[in-house]
Amino acid sequence: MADLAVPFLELYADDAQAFAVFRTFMARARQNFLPGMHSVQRQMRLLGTALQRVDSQLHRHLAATGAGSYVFAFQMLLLQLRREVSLPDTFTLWERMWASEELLTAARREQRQLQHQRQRRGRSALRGLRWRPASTTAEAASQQGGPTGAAAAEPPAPPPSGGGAAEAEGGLQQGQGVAPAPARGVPEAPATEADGGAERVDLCVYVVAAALRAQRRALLGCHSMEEVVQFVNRFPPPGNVVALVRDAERIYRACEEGDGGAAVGPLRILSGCWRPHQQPLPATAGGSQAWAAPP
Amino acid sequence: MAVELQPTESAIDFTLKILLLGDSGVGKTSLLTRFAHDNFDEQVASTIGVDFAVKKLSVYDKRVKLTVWDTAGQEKFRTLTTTFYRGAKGIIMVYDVSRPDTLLHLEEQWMRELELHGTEADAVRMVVANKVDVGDARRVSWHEGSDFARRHGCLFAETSAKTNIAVANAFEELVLKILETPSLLEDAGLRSGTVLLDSPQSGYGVYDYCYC
Repeated sequence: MADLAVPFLELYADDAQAFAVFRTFMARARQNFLPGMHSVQRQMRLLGTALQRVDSQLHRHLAATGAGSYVFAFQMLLLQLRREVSLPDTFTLWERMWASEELLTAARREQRQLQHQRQRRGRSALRGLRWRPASTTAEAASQQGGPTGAAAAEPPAPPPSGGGAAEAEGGLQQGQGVAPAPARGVPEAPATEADGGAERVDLCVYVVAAALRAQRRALLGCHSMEEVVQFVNRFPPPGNVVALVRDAERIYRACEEGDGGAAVGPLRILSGCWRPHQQPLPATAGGSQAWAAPP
Repeated sequence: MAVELQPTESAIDFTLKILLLGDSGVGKTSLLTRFAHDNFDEQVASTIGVDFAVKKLSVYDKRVKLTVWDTAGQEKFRTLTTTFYRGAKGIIMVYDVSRPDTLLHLEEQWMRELELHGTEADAVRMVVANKVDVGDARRVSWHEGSDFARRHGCLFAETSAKTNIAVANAFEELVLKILETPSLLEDAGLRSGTVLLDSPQSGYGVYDYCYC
């Protein structure tokens, strides 16, 4: 963790300020440090899937040397390439990475929401009269409004059949009223949280994939897992970290395309986020209480 | 490193996997750096995951290639590092003579981990007391250390990676003991616990990893 704190201590002269920012940073990064290291292990698997998709020759070679579990990338993933990249480059890399992560995450949420709407529409047409009561839908809308609020407003969703209350409240609640988790009868709040977690784009994984790909010739020259570990632990610093993030975005998109066509171009991404005036948090919360009372 | 591997590979009689274990900050990485590169760095970043070094030795007219795995000492990396225990012929458990708790942990944690995850029942184990250069700050005596090692059936050595005291001797003693244990040498002729591709060209055909 000391490695991760260095950039913040370097950036802020005031230790208290550095601590505050580091704390915010760790709120997200802490899952990588939980016992069992499940988060990093998931990232190692994701890295394998990503490389297999964009550079199957490299993936096959690594697997053949016995490094197919990508344990050698553990340090890169855990410390977000802090040790591989110089300090000035770390500022650039992390800033680019986080900004891109936000944009891609917003776009992905929007995309998922659209998909769910389509599915839901199809299902509701089939189910006909067995539609759930409006009050439950409204509750779900309020729950959903919290963490994933930013992505909702875009699609002009047609009113769900029977959801009268949602119709009255306008486009935003409609969009959220058709959220998938409550529709399946799963407890609302935890499901929403889990959805948000799963949807978050781990761009770091793709940045590591891009860094490995940039050194593919050297990696292809390694004949054993030991050599791979040795090489990666003395990884040559990437020359251009901006290009590295760009490559990472490309790899991410290539993987998403294979994942059922959820890929989105950069312009689309920009249109899908940063609309603070449409943040529905307080309004929705009040609305849901009002709806919850009359059945 | 890749260059020297191929031509000398045929001259190697044994390849032995050695594992470095012990609490965080006892000097595992420094021992390895001193042994493999005869170097010492005052400021070593804590190991994340694992690191690795190769060292070739001549013992008893045999050319021995040591593959030394340096594991992270921090508790949180335990699940990851235990995957590297497989096939280790020699285990070096390191403690810091200025921190008695690190010796205690060898018994409480590291030996237990080894029992759980080690695959070689006959693997030679060695307890190494590092940082003997600290002088007055020393808290664990030679007797305590050697008693502990004897009690657990381990070899014992006192070293200092910083001032280069007995580091190479410790590794050599361990290798000698391994070479005297026939059961450990059965599969150490060409490779040990690791995959070495005989011919890289033919590698791809063998592995079918196509998932499309």
